Amino acid sequence: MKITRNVIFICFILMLLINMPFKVKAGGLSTQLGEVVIENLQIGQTYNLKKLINLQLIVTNASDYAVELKMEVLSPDKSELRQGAEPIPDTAWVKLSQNFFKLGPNGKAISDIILSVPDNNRYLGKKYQVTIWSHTLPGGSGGMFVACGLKSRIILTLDKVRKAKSEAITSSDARIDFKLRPEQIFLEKVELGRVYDVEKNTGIVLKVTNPSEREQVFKLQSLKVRNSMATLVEEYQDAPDTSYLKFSENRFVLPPKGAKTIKIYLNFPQKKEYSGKKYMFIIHALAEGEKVTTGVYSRLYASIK
Amino acid sequence: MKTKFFIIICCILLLLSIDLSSALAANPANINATVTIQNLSVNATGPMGFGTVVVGSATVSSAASTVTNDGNVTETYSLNLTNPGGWTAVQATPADEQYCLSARFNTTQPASGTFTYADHALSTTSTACSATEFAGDQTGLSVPATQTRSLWLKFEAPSSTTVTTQQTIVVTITASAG
Repeated sequence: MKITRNVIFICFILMLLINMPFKVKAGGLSTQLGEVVIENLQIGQTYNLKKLINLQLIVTNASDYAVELKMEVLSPDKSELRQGAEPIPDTAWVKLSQNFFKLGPNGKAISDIILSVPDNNRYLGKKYQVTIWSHTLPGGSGGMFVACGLKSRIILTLDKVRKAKSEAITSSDARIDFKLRPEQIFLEKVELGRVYDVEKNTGIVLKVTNPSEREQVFKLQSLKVRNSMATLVEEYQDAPDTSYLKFSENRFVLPPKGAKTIKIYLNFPQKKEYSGKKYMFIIHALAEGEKVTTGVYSRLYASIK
Repeated sequence: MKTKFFIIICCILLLLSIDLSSALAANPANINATVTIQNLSVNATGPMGFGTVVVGSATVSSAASTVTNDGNVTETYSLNLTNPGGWTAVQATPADEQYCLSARFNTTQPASGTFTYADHALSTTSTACSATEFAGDQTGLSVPATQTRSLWLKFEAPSSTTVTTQQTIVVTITASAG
């Protein structure tokens, strides 16, 4: 009996894993929403992030074949928590306007993200994190398939003070879809006591792009990691002084669909304590609105000679 | 005695007034929103071949899945599998109708004996890569932008099975920033 079963199994496996036409393909996903931090939301309110800050979850099928894609709201694992946030008390706080998609090559899955915070004083001043997991579903049958996924982090803080319902802001003309590129800048052998012109040494300049149909004022500032909403990367120390990182312009106006390049300068004073160290700065581009301020980050990593 | 009571009452009133004034001073804050990570992207090759597999045997895939961080930020991968209808994944030597699928990041095909259940066995729960989890001479932890990793799988077949239909096992590689 056992021999028969084994023969069946061997035949089955041979059919399953050998005879199937193994055509290796590359598949992938990408999104512009890796992590977003939204501060000072009100308890008892519902926020559609598209209406609030023009933010949707957009996932692109980077494969050259069609895929099925699912988006799921998850409570993060302890190891995934950032910035002292707690896991969201209930994933039902977050709803997606659509969570299943059939995407052709380069097709985009677009979903609104709707946050509903229960009206309970115990949530005042809290910081929560929630994950949206976008992943492809198996497209074939019989064999060992590889699917891709992306985890987008949403970190939200709730205001310590309750606003009157009529005063709560749930929509604005603020946009968070402007771009700051590159997102990471690595500088090697930065000399102390000299102005390090990033463009001259590496060819890198910052580029801010305004994709909106209206003129927008932007500000650029450097931040210490501990004064930002980013996490310090291993092997790097926090920026000792934000004034060491300067930009050719700190405030500028971009026309609709306009872009601007900004030069970066690093100027570490001649101090022994900096020698041979690695430092991380946050570059913060922000658009100040009447009701809502939006911003994006780049990170600059400097290795001192 | 009366003086003591008076002092205590004064202190309580003072504390209350401080608390009250701070509560009154607090104003609702404006909303700030910051996209701290803008571009997350992952690419992987598949499906993966195993060659001949017999019951109770262990086989390492004949080729790796090339996993690429084609985003702009450092990424850490998490891995999980989806069970086929007839079998259940275990993180130990498989019994009847069970199988074990392990994953290891390595530049070249690893020997079967280098996979351990503790560090390399996959489950249906998404598990983040670390310095040891799914690690070989490469890891899926903090993979810099544009870099690739080679992911090898080891399939340990059920000790026996009655399943006679084709089975599909899916390994999902999920990228998150950091």
